[in-house]
Amino acid sequence: MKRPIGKMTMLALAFSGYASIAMTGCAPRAGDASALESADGTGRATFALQIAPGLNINTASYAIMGPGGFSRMGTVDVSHSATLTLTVGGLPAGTGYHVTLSSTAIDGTTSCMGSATFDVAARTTSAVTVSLDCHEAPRTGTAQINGVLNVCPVVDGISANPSEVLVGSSIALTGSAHDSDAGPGPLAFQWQATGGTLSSATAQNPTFTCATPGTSTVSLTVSDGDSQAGCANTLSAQVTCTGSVSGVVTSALFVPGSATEPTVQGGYYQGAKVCSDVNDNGKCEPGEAAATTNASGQFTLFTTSAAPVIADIGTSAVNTANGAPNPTRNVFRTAGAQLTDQGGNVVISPASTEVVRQVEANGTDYATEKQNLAARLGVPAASVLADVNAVAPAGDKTTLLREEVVLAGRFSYAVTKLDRGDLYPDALAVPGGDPELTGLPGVTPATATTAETRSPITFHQAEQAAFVVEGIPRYDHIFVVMLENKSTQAMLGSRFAPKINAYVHAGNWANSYFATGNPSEPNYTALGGADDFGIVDDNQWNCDATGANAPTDLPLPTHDQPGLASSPFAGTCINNLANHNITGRPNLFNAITAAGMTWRTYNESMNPGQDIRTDSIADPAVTALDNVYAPGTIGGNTSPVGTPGLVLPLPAGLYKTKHHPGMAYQNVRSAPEFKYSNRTLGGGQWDANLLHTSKYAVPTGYDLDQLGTDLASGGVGALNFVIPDQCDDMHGIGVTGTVPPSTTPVTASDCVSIGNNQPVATGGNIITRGDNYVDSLVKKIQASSLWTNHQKKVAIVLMFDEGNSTTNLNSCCGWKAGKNAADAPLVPSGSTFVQDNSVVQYGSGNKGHGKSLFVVLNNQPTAPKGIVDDDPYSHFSFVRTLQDMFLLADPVKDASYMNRSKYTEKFIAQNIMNLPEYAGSADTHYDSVRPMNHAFVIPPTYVEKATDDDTQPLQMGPDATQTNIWSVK
Amino acid sequence: MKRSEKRLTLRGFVLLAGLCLLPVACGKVADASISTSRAASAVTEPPAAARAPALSRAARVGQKLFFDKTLSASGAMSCATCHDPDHAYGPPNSLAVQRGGPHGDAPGTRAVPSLRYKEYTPPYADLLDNPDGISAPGPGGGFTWDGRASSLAVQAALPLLSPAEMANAGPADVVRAIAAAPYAASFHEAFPGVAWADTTAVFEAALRALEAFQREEPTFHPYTSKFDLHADNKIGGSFTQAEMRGFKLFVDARRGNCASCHFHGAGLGGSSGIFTDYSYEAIGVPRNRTLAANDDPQSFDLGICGPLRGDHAPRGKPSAFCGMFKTPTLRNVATRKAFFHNGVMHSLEQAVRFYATRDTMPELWYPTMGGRPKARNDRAFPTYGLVLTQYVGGRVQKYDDLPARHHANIDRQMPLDGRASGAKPPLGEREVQDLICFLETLSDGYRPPPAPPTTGRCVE
Repeated sequence: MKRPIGKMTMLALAFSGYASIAMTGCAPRAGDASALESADGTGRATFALQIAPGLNINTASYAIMGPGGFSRMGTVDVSHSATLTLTVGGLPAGTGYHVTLSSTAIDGTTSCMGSATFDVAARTTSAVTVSLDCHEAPRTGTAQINGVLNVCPVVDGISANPSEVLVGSSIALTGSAHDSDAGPGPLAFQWQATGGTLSSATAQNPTFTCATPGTSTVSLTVSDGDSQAGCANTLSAQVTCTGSVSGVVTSALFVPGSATEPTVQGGYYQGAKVCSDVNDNGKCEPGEAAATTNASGQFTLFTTSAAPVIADIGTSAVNTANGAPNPTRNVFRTAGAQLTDQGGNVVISPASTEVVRQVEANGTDYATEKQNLAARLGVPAASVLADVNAVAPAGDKTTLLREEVVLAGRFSYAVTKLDRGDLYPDALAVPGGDPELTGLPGVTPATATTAETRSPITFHQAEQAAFVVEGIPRYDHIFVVMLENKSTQAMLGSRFAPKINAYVHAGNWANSYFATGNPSEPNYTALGGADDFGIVDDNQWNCDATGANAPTDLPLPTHDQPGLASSPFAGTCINNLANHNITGRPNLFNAITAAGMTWRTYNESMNPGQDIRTDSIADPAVTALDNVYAPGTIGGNTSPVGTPGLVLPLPAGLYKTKHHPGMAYQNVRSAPEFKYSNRTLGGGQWDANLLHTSKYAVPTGYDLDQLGTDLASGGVGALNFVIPDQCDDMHGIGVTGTVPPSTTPVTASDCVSIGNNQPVATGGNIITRGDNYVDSLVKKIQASSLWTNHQKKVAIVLMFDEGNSTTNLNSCCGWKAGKNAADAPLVPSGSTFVQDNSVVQYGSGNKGHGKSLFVVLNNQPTAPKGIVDDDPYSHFSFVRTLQDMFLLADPVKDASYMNRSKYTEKFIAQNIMNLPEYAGSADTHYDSVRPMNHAFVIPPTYVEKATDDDTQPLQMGPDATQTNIWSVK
Repeated sequence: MKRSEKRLTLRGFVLLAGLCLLPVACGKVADASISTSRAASAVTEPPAAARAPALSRAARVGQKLFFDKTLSASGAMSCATCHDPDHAYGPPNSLAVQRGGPHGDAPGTRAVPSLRYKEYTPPYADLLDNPDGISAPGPGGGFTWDGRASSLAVQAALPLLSPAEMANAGPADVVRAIAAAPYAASFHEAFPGVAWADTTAVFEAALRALEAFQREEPTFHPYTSKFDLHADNKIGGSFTQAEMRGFKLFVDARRGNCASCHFHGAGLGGSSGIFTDYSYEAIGVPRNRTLAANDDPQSFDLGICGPLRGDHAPRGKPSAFCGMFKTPTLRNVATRKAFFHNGVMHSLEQAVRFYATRDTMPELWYPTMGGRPKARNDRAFPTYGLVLTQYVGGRVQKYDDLPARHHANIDRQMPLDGRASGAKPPLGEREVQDLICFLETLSDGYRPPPAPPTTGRCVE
């Protein structure tokens, strides 16, 4: 709390006349001296007071005491003058004079006082030194300043010529200063500057070279050798550096319709604004220096601002890749360091924007994130931010463009959120629960308690939020491993499934995950598009598909088609049940493709050469030996399980179309990429002999394990459904063979079907078979370079199609909570939603099937592990989660979510009159869809609902943590 | 007195239905109820009933047929006489079998089942895939107690032509009545290609109309029980402790095991909670000696293997099908007063107690031969059985309605696991009461009380 005392050092008291001046240095001792003159038996004293600028002293007082009771006092008004000359005469000669000087600064708190003794001789002059102590007021403590006088130097001025230049150019600086007492040392000059470099820091007249755009400050400090702090004098001046940024704004364009990988084209944006975004709000606004790109995407921006350079790509900008106007405003960014890195030709692109975003997300720097992005995509760092149109080889260019298509979509979405004024975060990602529900009529109040505290999203928030839609982070690749027909109670803790149980606890676990139908086909159809459309059986996909629903992927794969003589496909199928060919409905497959990304299904044990649209068939020419389990390898067996030498011919139906999540959708089977995207999955019991098939012509180069090939090449999709065969997925089918030469049928050891609710104590061999298969699959993915590239976000989901509960709260989250046959799906109509009554027997579907395991493993070393999320989720929640993960929908637009995945609590409440199935709900949170983001906090007194197949203790209150099971860091 | 009231009610119903022949008027009524419902509170007022789709023309004709007494020889009997809409489309009385025929005095041979919740029943098959998706295939499906009718339409012909029921001599009688009925024009509109002269075609169209009515009319499958509220997460669906205990017993395979046949889960065709798996079992229901058909001690109703059904006759050899009857739905079971295929029992409690003590106290259910009746029953001798007299000595005629050569067909699942007489019953007293409490939640038309009850038989 010591007051600065620098100004006090500027107080200089000087005496003229007969006194000498003693100087012993500057502060802390401020010095003054008095000289006294004696004449005719008396002496005289002359005072001269100089007050430096800045110190305000109104009065100075003196008191002289002499021998024989001599006393002389006086006060001098110095308020209107900076100098004082005072002569005191008539001092009797004598010894033992005492002089006291005092003054008080105008602030009233600092006073200075000093005294000395001297002798006066008649007509003589005596030299006296008076020390002056200054004291601060009590509020700041006490400062004692002692010293003797120095006159400090003063900077008189700085001149800069010219005062404004382009970055890289120089400015001549001239410093002027003086030191009144020319000592104790010579004047020394010390320059400092921001935003550029000085030719010399100590010259009086150096040159300054502009390095960064904007206002630079040059400061000159002069000193006279007095080492006391504050004696030196500093003056600052400002000069202007004008930046010149040249470069291009590149574009990436997705061209739909490819039958293989997505078609992409590079280009530039013409008519995009490039500016210094001074207020960093993601918009080029009046007052911000801007340039516009030409037909080649080039720009040169002159700016005096060091603010981030952005490209504001409006809807009047044209993407030269296709010559079409940019559909929605987008903003690309550059890191400041990129301007330096790329010198005179900056490339503003989705990739450059992503680097900036990652720097901000991770608190890292440009170089790190540039390298990370290159590593993620597997392209050289030199290419990743280069003009993509010039990148070679072509493979790298394509890789970059495909990623930039996705990135551009994300950034465009961010800008949309910003421009729309979305509240942040997304409603269903607000910790605690959706704040829009609080006080909303028609929702259960007990679970709608989160206050609305959100405010409109900022530019920076929007950019990050576009990569964590509804709290679900973007993943590069997800592998959804589909297992069959085992409820949680059959799996959790089963000694027949030690490996899956280990993954449950090593990974993250949605502990209240519900199937949405029964049997398989409705569940897989729901996983493909969040509705089963009334399908309640496993019938062939053309069943009851007539009229507008008649299949259009003709010819049907019947046995009369070339090469399909062995096809089991029935050309007609009428059961008077629901239409099984879902026509014109949104689904994950079409949505992924339309967004420029890829999907795959990996299917095990298909007949080589078969049509993917048909079930696999038995083939006696393809055989395998029975799996024999040594003691201790299957449910604690003490003797071997299995039949050595048992030869098993390939059974029918190892591959079933009912287990393909896209098969029921006409627009999936008709998609150009359908054939290309359905692939083989290795590891099957019969793989070694599959190519010996007697049933179909084996295609040239048939790859029995395309998953393995794709993991090595990176050719997997963004969304991958991994579908083991009906033995390895734990479904179970009849598999019998013989032990030659005997012809007695013997059943295979580990493919006998068991109940969905098989007690863990008794288990079943097929569970161990599935356990081993899952383990090998997980290990195979985890061993791939895809997984070990931690710049890529990769997840494996282990899940089951069905549980076991068939009634009594046997599903949640978009389930058909009622038995009203009048129910119909809600479809958008203008800005509202209407019932679509065209779906025959719709009311039979979506009734749920209880709980099953849902485990997420990811490849991020620092991601949270061991998370358990007990908030209820269903296949519909998962589909919504995938839509968020891949930005296939927009949380503020209910209509953008496919089919029943739009049935959030708010949506249901707002559309209850058209959703009679949800009327009278006792728990609207339970009934409704939400993404699997663990944002909802279970209220303290809320008891988990007891479903038919719940064998775990019911949880009361919130989870141990609210960490998202999809968290990547 | 009661009967005449019933008639009035029925006439009123028909009258209303007649009004609805005017589609415009009907539409207005429907619209009005929709808007009323919309004005009501969104969550607490299910608009389901108001929004049910209008019946098809065929179903509207079926509705007329269903209530038309002129379709019976007596002129006093319609489908609704036995399948009373006010009694879950089951019998309105406690008679084991109903009386019919030309003079209304011919006794039937089997108890009248409810016509509710039949819409998912598949045709009979010896190896029907069990709706639970787990159990082994077995005899299942079809209509009537023995499954001999493959569809609701086929079933509808049986009472129309049965001498003990509506007693038409043949389809021509039925067709004649339809042609003379006030709704003949509607019938023709519903089946425009069917000529009156084509008796077979008209009769079959009538059967299809009856099926359509039963399929489309919501009151045949209302799903308005407390169980439905509970299973569907609806307000008012919270089970009491007794009901919840009963539900757990019901599904627990080691105890009540009821759900193994009265399957409560998601079943065929997207059904849910039908409370039957359509399977057949022989459980040794005691002989109902009050039935005229049983006057002949050598006459046995053996279910699938006859006599009403002919295609599984034993032909002198033991047949696994003999003694098997269809598992009925338990929905609305608490509203019935005649139980099992022969109506031998008359209260739900009696039926449940039969499962609890058939094996451990068979003397309550089957006659004792050769013994001596006690002058006075022991104080502990139950009064809920079919046999109210306690005997000393003698031999209980267990499974007295199934010839001994078919006893191997008797089901051995819990709770009828064949344990010894005198052994501990599989279900204790409280468990019996809890099961009854749960079964009472299966009655349609449940209206939740404003506040949960705090006292009562089924609370704690």
